[in-house]
Amino acid sequence: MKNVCYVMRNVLLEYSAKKDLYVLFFVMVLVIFLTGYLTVFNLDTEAKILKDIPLFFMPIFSLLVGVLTIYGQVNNEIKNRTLYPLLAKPISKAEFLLGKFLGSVIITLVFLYVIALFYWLFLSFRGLSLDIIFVHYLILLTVRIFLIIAFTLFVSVFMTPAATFTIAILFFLISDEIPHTLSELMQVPDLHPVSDILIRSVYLIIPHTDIFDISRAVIHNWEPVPTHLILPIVAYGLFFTLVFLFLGTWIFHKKEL
Amino acid sequence: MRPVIELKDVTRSFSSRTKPVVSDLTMKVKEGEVVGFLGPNGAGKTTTIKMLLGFLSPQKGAIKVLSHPPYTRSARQQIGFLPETSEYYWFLTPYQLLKFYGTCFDFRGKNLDRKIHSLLETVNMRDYTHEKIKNFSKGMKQRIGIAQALLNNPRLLILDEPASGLDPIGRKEIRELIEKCAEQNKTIFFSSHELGEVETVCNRLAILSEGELLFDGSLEDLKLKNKQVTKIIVKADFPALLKKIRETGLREKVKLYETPEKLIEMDLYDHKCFYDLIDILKAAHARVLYVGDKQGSVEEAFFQIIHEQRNV
Repeated sequence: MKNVCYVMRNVLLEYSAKKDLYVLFFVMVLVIFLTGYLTVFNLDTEAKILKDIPLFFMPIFSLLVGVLTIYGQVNNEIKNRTLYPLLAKPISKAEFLLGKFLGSVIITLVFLYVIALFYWLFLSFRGLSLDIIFVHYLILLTVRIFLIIAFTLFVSVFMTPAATFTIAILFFLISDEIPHTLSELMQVPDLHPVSDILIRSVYLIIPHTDIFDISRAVIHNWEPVPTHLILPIVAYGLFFTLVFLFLGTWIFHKKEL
Repeated sequence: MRPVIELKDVTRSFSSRTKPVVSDLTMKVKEGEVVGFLGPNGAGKTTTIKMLLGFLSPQKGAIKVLSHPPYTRSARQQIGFLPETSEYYWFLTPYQLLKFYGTCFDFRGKNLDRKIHSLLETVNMRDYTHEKIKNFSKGMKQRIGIAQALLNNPRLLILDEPASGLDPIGRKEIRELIEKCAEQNKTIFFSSHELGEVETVCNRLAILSEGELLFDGSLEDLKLKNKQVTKIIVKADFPALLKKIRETGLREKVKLYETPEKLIEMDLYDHKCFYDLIDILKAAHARVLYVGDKQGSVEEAFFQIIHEQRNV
């Protein structure tokens, strides 16, 4: 485990020395504060806008940070030749990948929680409150971050950084829509049996990331999600995270350097 | 005693359509040997080293390093490796880097700290312990590379072109370090295409070209092989003679150069062509001043071996 911790620590040190993430952080903070300057006559609508705009950008920026911190980790280590002296030592490829994953997760979560804190302070300043549903929102977004980072890491072990980045962003952009589209396709009458089986299989296999988004509930101050509903969703996200990590490790183990 | 490195019929290619990069390579390296792994660029040296470290698998044959398969923890625990291009994490300091690597070997605490400081002292980098690696020159990175390779006091040291790109002082330091490690009875396996570097520190040479092991033996054995070189000194018009040699296709078998005294020295690597060369000399109206066997250098022996293989 100490090998994993050291690889993770290196990811943290690397990104604390880079400027990219600070820029994203300040842009996000700026978005939150600029939202405050939007004046709408209807107070109820204004409250919704003040909650809606930052909540729209928060997952985008967080997941972008997750993708940015992980997509080139493996390939850059190969390209910069830093991987060879490391893997010549008694450290496994699995420990290496897990360390990279955890490093990226920690950076992204720090980014998310600091932004969430700003968001909460901003709303309090404007006399608006956030209910417990916001905590549930953050829990589900955290699981979604695990999932996208694990997916990006998995793709990065066999794709170039550019391809990995593109696939990860596409996954992030369309993954919420794919289950809906597939479910609509399954309703089409007279579907060829082979197509039907294929669509149903894909529907079952792919992660349904739409279930992690409860931003509407936060905006409209809905009742908190019961624990018996939250836990299975968290478990579902963690299951896919582990699947991607396992597949990534397996492919990386087979990969020749 | 079991060999430290054992390669048996090792073959590796990267495409089914091309010639294997390493072909049926068999060799054993014993404890305490300093083996220079020589070969021109593209000979298969780095591929062999990658297989010894478990980064690549052979398609045929078997490899054992310190009696273990190369990818196992037990093997890596006792290996020190210096890659061809020494690149390390730019955002770390040498201290942080060595601490990270030391942790992989289960070293910790004050013991690891002592080790790090002593190694940085050995490679003359003590003053840069807490400087970021991103500011280091190539030579400084190479020294850090050496420190990390020695961190676990390895039984086997694998060095891939350790002096490549270094200035003469850097090369000398590497040479001295290899000698120091050899004195400690470490087994050293290092690849190079710099013959001078190998000549001074190795007690065994292995020459690889186009994936095939062409020579495996001591320096003396290699020099003996070179006895077949015939040295001929003539007085003639250099451009005219060179032209004639080129026309007859002997260029590959004869190395010729003009001395400051305007004489032409020729090294003939193939005895069978001796009379053909004499005919050319006659035709060029050259005056033969000397003919005799030559006790050549390691460099000449190396060229001869490579040349013979290419002609085959």
